[in-house]
Amino acid sequence: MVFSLLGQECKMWLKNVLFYAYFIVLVMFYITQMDSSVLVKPAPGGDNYGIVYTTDETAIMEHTLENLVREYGQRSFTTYPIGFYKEVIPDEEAMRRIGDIISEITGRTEAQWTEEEMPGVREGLRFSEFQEAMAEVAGLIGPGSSYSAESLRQTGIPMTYEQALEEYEAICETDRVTGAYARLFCDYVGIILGILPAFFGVARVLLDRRSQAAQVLYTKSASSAAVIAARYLAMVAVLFVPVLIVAHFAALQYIYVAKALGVAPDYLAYAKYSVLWLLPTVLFVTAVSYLIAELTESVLSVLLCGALWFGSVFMGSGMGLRFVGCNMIPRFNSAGATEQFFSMLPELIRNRLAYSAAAVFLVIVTGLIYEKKRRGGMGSGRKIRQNRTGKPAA
Amino acid sequence: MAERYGRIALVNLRHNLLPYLAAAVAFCLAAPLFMGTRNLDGVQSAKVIEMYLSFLGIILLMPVFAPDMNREIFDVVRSKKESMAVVSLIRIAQSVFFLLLAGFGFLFYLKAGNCDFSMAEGMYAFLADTCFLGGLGLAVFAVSDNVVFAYMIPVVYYIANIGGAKKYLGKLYLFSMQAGQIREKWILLAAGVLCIVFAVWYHLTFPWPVTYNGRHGKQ
Repeated sequence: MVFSLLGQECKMWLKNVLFYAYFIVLVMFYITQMDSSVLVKPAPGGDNYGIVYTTDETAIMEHTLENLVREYGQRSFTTYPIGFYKEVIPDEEAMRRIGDIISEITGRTEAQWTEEEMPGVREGLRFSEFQEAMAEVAGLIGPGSSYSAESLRQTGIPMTYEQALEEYEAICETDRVTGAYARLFCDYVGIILGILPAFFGVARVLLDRRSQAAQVLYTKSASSAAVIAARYLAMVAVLFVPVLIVAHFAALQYIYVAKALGVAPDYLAYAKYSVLWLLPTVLFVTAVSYLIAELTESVLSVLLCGALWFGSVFMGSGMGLRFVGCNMIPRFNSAGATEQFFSMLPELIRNRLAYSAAAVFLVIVTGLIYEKKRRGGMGSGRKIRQNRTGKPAA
Repeated sequence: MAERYGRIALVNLRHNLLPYLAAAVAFCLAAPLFMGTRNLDGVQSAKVIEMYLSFLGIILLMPVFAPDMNREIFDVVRSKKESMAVVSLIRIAQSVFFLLLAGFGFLFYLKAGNCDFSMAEGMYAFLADTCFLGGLGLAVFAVSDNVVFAYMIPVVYYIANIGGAKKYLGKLYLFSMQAGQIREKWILLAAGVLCIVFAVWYHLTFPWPVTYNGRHGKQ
């Protein structure tokens, strides 16, 4: 039953203008976003090799402390909660506590460290202690500050030739070229996949409403679970297959680049990254929009999903575009930084599993709402269902 | 006559616009939770106006044809003495009124927070962006008769502006105030107004979408 319904649903989508608009937008977005920079081996003596996020704990502590003392002196802290600038002026109590924290990590009194041009951390301060102190500061200031755990990981310093060479070798050996560019592909395409599936969930519900088919469907023998599962899976299929097609064509370019560099490419890198990274986004956004649309039977679902997308995209933008956390749209806007990516991979996997599980939960809730509508518990299905299943009045 | 127009506006407000109005109010009230609204410099103020407030165009202008999605309602409204063009104009005037109200309110709030921007320029940029995004959606809706598709196009246009499509959009770039190019906005405003006029004309001339045999459906 589910497979038969699934086939019908897919056919329906293939006749819908929305599907073709989605495909065109996906292709255009990929073409306009992807830069055409070529992977070249760095040469010694260059002026600029780019920026590397340092793992040097001393450098991170010094850089962060300098920033903290400056902002404390200005009694104003810069934050980017969803990518937009927000100035935070903590209350007196919070300011006092931040001052105490600076004294604790410098090992000097406030009178002493305010006189110094660039106070350093006290000798013997462990990085874990520093992280704890900064977590407290971040809690006092609010989200999007420079002192959160994510921000501490994003302390950038100029890359040396040796580091640039190391990164190039990691792209060739660990990522086999295709893996590095597959990540960049997922980073870009993830942005648009954070919102486009929302239109499908709403469209599915409005199609029934507009053609006044809902009440007819309520009387059919297919179970609510089968109807919802088939519809949801069909939406996911028509949304994700185009992603795989675009990924395939994107991969061809970098398979060629890898071969030109004498590297054995990973032919399935784009497909693997797409399934791990992008499929959970499609699953979740489709589930959210379908659930809200089934509840409200209106386009308000698009607005709510738009708000979710807005928050997710701009939340990542204040974090150097390499950020996972609990974000619906994980960002890793770099073809290099292989080591950093693999250190973030467990977090990415946890994030993606959580969103996939949430999607399954939301689809189950949608099924329950649909069943309730069929039984006449809410919405427009009341009379029809009663007529089919109820006992004759006379 | 004024009473009749007032009744049309009231019915539209009560049965159509109210949830979108609530969404717009919630959207404006939520802003200070996520972004700074005090002591912003010119670029930061422009960013809030262009990248955040411009969404109000989609929220408030898109519901203009929403009641006509139901063909029975459309036929009933069409059979009334008042022409559909007048009904559409009243709905648009209502949406634009609330758009202006929200824009003025928000910009006054920013000004009161000592943000550094010209009120006239801010309002101009706000109107240009919102009219363009909302008008684009209305025009797509009029032609396609597909409300979801109509929402999709302005949202995608907005995303294209954030991303790398800036070089392809030329003077129709939404965020030019941030680059100090406020004069270019007249093109967006004109294009937005044209889209709205076209949408009303098309919607009233061809109320149903083009059918698969290439002809317009029931008229």
